[in-house]
Amino acid sequence: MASTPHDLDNLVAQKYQHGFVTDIESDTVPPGLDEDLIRLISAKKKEPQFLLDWRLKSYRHWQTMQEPHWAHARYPAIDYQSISYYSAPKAKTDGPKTLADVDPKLLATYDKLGVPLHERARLAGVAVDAVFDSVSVATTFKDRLSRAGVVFCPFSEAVQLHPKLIEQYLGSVVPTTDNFYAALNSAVFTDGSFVYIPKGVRCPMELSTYFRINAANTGQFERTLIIADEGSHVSYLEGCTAPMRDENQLHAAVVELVALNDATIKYSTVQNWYPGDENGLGGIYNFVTKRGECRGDRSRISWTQVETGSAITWKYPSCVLLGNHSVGEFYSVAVANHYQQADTGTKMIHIGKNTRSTIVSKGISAGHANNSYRGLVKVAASADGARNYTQCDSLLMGSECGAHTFPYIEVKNPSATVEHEATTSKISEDQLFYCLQRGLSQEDAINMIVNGFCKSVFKELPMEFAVEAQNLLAVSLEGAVG
Amino acid sequence: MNAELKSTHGLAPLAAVPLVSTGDSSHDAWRTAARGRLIAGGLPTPRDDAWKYSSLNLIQRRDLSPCTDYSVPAQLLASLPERQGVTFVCINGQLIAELSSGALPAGVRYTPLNDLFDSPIGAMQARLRADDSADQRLKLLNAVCCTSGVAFDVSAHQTPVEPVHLVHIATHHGHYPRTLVTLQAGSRLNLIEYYLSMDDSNSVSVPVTDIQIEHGAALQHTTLGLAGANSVVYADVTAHVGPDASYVHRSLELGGLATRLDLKVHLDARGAEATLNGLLLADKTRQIDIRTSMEHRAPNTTSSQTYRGVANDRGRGSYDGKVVVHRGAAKSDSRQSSRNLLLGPKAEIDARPQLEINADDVKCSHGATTGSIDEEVLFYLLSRGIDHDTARALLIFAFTDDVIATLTDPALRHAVEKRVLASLPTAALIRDFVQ
Repeated sequence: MASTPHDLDNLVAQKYQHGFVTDIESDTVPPGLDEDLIRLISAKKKEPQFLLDWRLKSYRHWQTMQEPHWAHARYPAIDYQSISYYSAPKAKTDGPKTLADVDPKLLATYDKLGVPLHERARLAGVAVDAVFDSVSVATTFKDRLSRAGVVFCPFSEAVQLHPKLIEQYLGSVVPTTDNFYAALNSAVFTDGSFVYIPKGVRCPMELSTYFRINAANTGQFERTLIIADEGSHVSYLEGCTAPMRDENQLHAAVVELVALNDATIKYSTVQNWYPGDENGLGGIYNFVTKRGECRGDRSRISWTQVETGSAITWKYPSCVLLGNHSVGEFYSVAVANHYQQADTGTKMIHIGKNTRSTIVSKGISAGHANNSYRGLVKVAASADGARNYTQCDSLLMGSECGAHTFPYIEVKNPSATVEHEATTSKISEDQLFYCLQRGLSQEDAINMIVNGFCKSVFKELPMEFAVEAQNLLAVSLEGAVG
Repeated sequence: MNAELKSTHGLAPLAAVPLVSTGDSSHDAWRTAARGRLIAGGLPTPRDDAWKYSSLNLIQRRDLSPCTDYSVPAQLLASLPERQGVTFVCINGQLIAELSSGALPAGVRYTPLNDLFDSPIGAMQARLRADDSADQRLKLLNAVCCTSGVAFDVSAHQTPVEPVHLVHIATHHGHYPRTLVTLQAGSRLNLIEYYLSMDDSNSVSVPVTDIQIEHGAALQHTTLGLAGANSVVYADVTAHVGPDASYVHRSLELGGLATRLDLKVHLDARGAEATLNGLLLADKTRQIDIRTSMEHRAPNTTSSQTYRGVANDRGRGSYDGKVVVHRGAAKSDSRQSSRNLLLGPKAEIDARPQLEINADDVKCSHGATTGSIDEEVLFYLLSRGIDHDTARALLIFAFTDDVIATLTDPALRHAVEKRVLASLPTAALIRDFVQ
């Protein structure tokens, strides 16, 4: 294969585009974790007693748990006492009421990221609940949403305004005892997003949250809870970028989705946190628990993710298909370059009758990266007529990287049909030659082939995300093939 | 890996069992120490990932001490398929000369393990040991308790036509056969193993087989699991395949209360090739757990795995097939297919087709399906005037034929077909069609 080593070296050495630190005064507590800290977080958030009790219960359980090490990833031990668990941009008054009240530096940060909040809000019609470190600072389009009866607000606000809903649903999908990181998150989460779509309402716009990790040494513990009541429909977009830094940062979010009868939740993620430099130094540790429950009949939950960032990704967005005729979907593109390690996949638990699930996972490995698909398809004895189709494809670029597939398929119902297939390949010389012969440059040809490889996932993304995802993929992989 | 090991009961009585001396003092010392570690560490539990789908609870209350009763259950031998070539019969691991028949083909050397033990075993030591991991726990149990075994050695460029049959009979308690097979450069061998026990036997068989295939040699290895209804078999097979050598393994798991096969194949050198085929028939309350691990350690290595599982009644079948392509093993080519039929409402099928790829210029694929009989295919037969039960039985039988058809020995194939038919609920309907 023809190669131009000089150009490739430059491309491989390309710096993370979104790396910068905004200098804003943060209200940060010293590193360390104990019950007093949890009480402090709870007090700062002016939380009701039930939530404090819930946090403390989680913390006590977390202390009895062992950190899991089954993922196909290697990293130095994490010192949970060296992390600062709370960081809030300093309030000028009691918090901004409108965009004009927001710290201009903060807005400039979003500008650099290509998220001009006000512009995007006006032009694209997307409501943005921007989470800057741990406290939500700006929320737009609240009026329009509230006219439809949709609740879309920072988690801490929801605790004040809708404590009943929180008490009813928080932890009902991902219990505090679920796993090590979920328990930690339950104890120390600082903020996140809350969405409630009332009965029969189709959310008038796509809901979007931009997460961002900023202050040094602060782990980010987000909590997202989305409830789609009977017959409702919502599409939720989550996108992430983070500034450049040499210290590893921990991110352990929990996302819970609840879909009642005939409800649909579509959850899309573009994750582009700092993946570490080309020597594997730094980068975000992303240990996320995402799970949705299709509680109602004919409900549907769809996860779509494009994962290009983080030094380590440990993430398994799952669907528990309880309702009859409910549907779970998982579409994923995971890209790992340099020394990134991605261990990601899904769980589809079929319990209701005639439940269906589809899994399409595309893993791309380059450099020294390791990319693993780990998934479970479980059909309980009660799930008559359950149907699953799984496809896992891996694309390898370079002889030092790895692509792994660890599916678990457990079927207890004879009327179920479960199919799994996986392939591993590299970009074939024939494909490349065909493109070069048509006058495309090597980089363009590779981009085109990779985008083709991922197409079945990209077509599931909302339009604006699809464009962003393609660009992201191109940036992440430039120079990966020689 | 072995953090979850516990539940020592079942192993504790082993402390009182005298270990048979191997005649090699350093190996004897290793065995004594290993026994201590084994009893202290206990058996793996379902929390160990390697033991997720096969429960060792079944043997918790069984006596695992090696059985030294060598009386002959004659009716078992009568049930064996017709054989050509030489047959070795071992009862509880001990070769019984008067039951064995036929002459060894030229170039094949046979040594009872006891004779090997009479001299310092030196280079053999590594092949007779196991480590403490959960993966190798049962292998370690064999390494400690094994009282005897057999070693086959085929001289360079010898290619005997007749197969070698090796019959393992377990009567009760622990059964720890050990088999070593070495094929020198350019040689060939067709080895057929049978695992038998009586239906009322409470035996626990832990056979360990170690295979070395040198440059350009080829081994055909078939194991037929015909253990009695209450017997448990946990087999461990490790094969090292040399340059341009080939290994074919077929396992037909048709009996026992619980069967597990750990099959590890190392494609160690350029041009090595392995083909693994298996049939799991998990009816009644039978548990069958097949785990294969295919290690592509050198460039230009090829492997294929084809497994078919049928689960009925309260049976549970699982297939865990792992393919690892090591760094530098370019042009590795691996294919894996696991298809499973789930026929009973209380039955279960688990599949875990894993790939670990650390090189880019490779071709690897796997496919796994679990489901019931294809309605469209059934409809086709119904539309031809065949009644529902017959059509169904025919389709189940045809499904198993993917693996049975790979058996080259006609007598063996016939015996397996008969056994599969007998396990089908409506076998009588199709017997005339297929035999």
